[in-house]
Amino acid sequence: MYKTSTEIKVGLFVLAAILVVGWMAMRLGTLKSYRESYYQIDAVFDQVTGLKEGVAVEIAGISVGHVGRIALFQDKAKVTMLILNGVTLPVDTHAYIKSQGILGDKYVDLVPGMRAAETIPPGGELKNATSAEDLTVLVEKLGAVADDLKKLTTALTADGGDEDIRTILRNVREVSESLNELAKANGPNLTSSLSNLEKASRNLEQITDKISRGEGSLGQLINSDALIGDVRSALSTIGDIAEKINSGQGTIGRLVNDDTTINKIDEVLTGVNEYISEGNAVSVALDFRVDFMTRYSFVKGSAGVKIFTSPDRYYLLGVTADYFGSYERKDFSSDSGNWVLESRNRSRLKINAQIAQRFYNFVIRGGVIESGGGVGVDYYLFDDDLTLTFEAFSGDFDHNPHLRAMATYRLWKFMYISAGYDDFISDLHRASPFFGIGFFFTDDDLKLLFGSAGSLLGS
Amino acid sequence: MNTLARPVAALGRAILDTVFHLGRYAILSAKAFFFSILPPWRPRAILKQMEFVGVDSLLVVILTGIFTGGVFTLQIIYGFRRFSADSMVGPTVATAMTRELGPVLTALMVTGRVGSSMAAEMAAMKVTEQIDALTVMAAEPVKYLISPRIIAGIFMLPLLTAVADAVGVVGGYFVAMSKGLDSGQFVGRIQDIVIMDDVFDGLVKAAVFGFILTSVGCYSGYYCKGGAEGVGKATTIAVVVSYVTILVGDFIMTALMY
Repeated sequence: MYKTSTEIKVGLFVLAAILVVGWMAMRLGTLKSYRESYYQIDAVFDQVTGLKEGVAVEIAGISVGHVGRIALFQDKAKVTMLILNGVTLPVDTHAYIKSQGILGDKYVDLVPGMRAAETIPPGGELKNATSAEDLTVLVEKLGAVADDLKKLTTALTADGGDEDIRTILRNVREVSESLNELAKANGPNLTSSLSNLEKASRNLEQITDKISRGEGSLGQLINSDALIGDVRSALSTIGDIAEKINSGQGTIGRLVNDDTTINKIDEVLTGVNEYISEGNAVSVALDFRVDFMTRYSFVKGSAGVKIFTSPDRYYLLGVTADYFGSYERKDFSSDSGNWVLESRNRSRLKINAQIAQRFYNFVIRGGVIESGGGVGVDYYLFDDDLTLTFEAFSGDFDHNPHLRAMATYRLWKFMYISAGYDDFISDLHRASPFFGIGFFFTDDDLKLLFGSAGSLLGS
Repeated sequence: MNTLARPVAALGRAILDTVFHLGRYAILSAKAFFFSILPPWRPRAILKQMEFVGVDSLLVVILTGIFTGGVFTLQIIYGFRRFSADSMVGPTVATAMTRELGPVLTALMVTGRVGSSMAAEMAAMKVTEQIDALTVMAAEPVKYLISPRIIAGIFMLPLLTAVADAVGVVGGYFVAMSKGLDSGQFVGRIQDIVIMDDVFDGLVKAAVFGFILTSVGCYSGYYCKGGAEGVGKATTIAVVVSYVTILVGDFIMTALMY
């Protein structure tokens, strides 16, 4: 009665169909295998006819974001664009509204400017925004041109038109005829002018002859050998200097010839550049959490700082205050067997120092966890709101590794709640469920907080 | 008086009949739903119906999908080439498949294969008094026979439709290639224009169609009268009413969705 093949068939069919739906979702872009993050910039256009929210923003035909919101702003259209993080736009970037083909949808085309050193910051405004040449406006203009042309042709072809053209032609003919007559009438004068010009040029020839023979003061100046000598010696001095510079003698010579100087300057500049750009990329976040261990009714607090050197990579430094504290293990041997003594360290503070790398929704991290070597995995879900964490690190006294499974859920930007199970394979019976509350601030938040606090104090 | 009253009476009878059937159908459907919630659930029966409705219909649905997508592409290319909108062929085919052709044609094919068979099965059980026998044995026939079928229909139709959507676009792709379109032209703008909501709306429709074709099939068989002739009649009614209801329902749902 109970047919296994039925189960297998139905199961396979359902799996296949779900795969098909998943594939379609993937291809149509609803499901992203990783989360893309954007920053906002604004641009004010004269008019945005046909532009819709959500259409693409492109550079060189490649989508780099989309239009977020379109709103009226001082009788103009303010368009908020969401640009993919990692795409930087120089301040003199131009935005155009274009359409794909005559019937196509409108989209925003960005043409990056030349001043690559200054980029538009997140939330900044793009100054050069040009509205699309509306097709109807274009048609109107063409219509006006056609009208003018039409007027011209009607004027010419109208009753008087022919007459006008004929008059113009007649005038032209008259002008050329009178020129002709002028030339004829002044024929003899023109001939004498030409012969005078000939005489003048002959005189000039004689003068240059005299100069070249060294006659007269001008001739002496040019033909004197002494002067030539002076000039020659001056030239040779200049030549010497140039040679010295060339061979690397003297300060200028060394500066010009020694590559190391230039290389050093280059290095310094490159270093400064890198420092500046790295400084821009680094961001910092603070993380505080307090967990209540339900089995022992004590509170475990931790504070840490996450230093992001890139959106995917961060270093985690911090401390954890643990009731159990750190232990020292002491082995004694006696006649009756081995003794192990544990003694509590003075400090209940434990150190965290980890390096973490994010791959899509996973973060893999490792280093020092609660003063022991260990690794952890975080899995982010629902736009990073929910985080599932698993950590394993060496317990300081325990024989088994310290394992912790935890879920945190971000309630809103600064605050999250956590719950989990700590040290669940402990051979010292320290396993305990826990729940807690945490706070998370990025440096932007801090700037904002301190900024507003400062302005409050200021006022 | 008699000659005057007869046509009026006929009109009244037709209306009363319609209301009667609609009411009985609504009660039967509600009963089927109610019993499907109450334990004991019958996973075996549901699984068996799922195999019958879903797995066994797969081949016919794949064929329908491929050829529908193919012929639609053929016609679209002919028209779109005239204003060189070659790159819009893919999106048009994909939108049509996911929104309309996939759900509706899958539902029609499954009605022909499954709805008719359900009606005939139920009618045969009815005329041979097996249904009455179930009642006598205190086994609620609606729970035992109808609920699993309706559940299977609601769950299997969206899955079949998803398959039809996908193979339809693939069929269209091959036809487009044979007509000299570039693969990039066909595929490229599908991702720009078709959104996942198109697919999901189609799947919601398919679930509704799955309910219609199974419930109408069961209803017409469950209440059939007479002998062998009644069985045949029940099958015909099941198919015709399902087809019409699916097409009308599709129109109403489309009007509400978009």
